[in-house]
Amino acid sequence: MSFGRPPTFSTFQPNPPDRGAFPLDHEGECKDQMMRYLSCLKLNSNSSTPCRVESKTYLDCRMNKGLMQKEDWKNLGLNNVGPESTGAKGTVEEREG
Amino acid sequence: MRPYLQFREMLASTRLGPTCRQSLGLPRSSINHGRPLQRSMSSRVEPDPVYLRRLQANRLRSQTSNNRTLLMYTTAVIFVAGGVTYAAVPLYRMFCSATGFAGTPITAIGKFAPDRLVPTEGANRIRVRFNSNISEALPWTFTPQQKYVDVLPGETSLAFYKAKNNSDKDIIGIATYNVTPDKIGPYFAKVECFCFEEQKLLAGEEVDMPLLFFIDKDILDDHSANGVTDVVLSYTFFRARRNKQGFLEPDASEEVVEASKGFAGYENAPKVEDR
Repeated sequence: MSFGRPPTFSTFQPNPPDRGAFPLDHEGECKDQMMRYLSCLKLNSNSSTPCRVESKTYLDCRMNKGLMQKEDWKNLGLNNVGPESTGAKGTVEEREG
Repeated sequence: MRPYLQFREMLASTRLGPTCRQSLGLPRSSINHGRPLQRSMSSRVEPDPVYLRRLQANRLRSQTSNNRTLLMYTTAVIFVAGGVTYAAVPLYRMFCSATGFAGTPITAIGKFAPDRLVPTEGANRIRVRFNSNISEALPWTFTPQQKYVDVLPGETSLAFYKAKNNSDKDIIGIATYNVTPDKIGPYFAKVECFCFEEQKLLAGEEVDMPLLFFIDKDILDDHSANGVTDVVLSYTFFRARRNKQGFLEPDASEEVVEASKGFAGYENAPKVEDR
C-alpha cells in the first residue's frame, strides 16, 4: 500500500523482538552449550538445521539458569527437535526427573 | 345537528388548531371543556383565549424541542463523518493488515505464531552473514562468533556475538541493527536478541550475546524477494542509555557531552532533572 507515494517507497519499520532481550550471561553459565553449537555449525558447513538440537540445548540451559523466560518449545520453533521434544512446557531436567 | 356536534367534540379531542378547522370548512369556534356548548345560531364564535394561548405555547415548546433534536443529530453526523474521514487511512491500513487485503502481509496477528516457526523443507537456504560495528565513543570490542549461518525460511536459528569491555569502568551500550537488502526487512524477525535494550558490561568483562531469529516463510511467496540468497545482518553498538522517559541519551557525564558539542568552556545551566 503506497497511499499515493511511489510504490517502491518502503514503509517498513523495524520492530523490537517478540520476547525482548536475552539477559546477559555474566557468569558464562551456558558457555559450554554455546561452544557446542558453534562447533556443530563448523562441522556442518554453517547450516543451521543439523544444529537445532544444540540450539535447543543452549536455550534449555538459559531457561534452567534463569537467563530466559520459560517458554513452550513450539513458541520458539523448536517443537520437534531432539530426543527430549515432547512438546511439553518445562525443561529437559524437569521432564527426566 | 347531533352528528355535527359529535364531530366537533372529536375535533376537540384531536386538538386541531383553528386554522385546520377553517380548512375543513368548519366554523371557528372554541371548544368547551366541561361547559355546556353554546348553541347560538351565529356562525362566528369567539375562540377561548386561554385555550388558544395554551395551544400556542404547546406548539412552540414542541417546535423548540424538535429543532434542538435536529441540531443534535446534525452535529453528531457532521462530527462522526469528520472523524471517520480523518481515521480513514489508519482504519484502512488496520483492515488490510488484519485481512491481508490488497497484498498487505498479515502483521496484526501471528507473525510469531507457532505454526509459522516451522522450517520449510526443500526451500533454498538463505545465507545470513553477520556484521558488527561499534561507535568510536564505546571502548568495547564487539565481534560475531560465526561468519554466517545458512537457514531455511521459517527455521529459528541461533547466532552469537561477543562483546568485551576494554575500559576500567562499567559501561552501558545499546545496539541497533539493520538488515540488507532492505526487501528482506519485513521478513527478518527476531524472537529474542540483545538489541533495543541497555546492556551493561562491567569493567574488563567479556560476554556472549545470543540472538534467536528466523526468516518468515512468506518470503517464498514474495516475487520481489525471490533472488535474495544472501542477507547481511549488521549490529552497531552505541554508548547510550535510556532516560526516565525511555529516550536514548549518551551514556556520559554532562561535561563530556557538552564538550563534544563544542561548549566545553561555557557554564551551562543545570538540566531540568537535576534542578
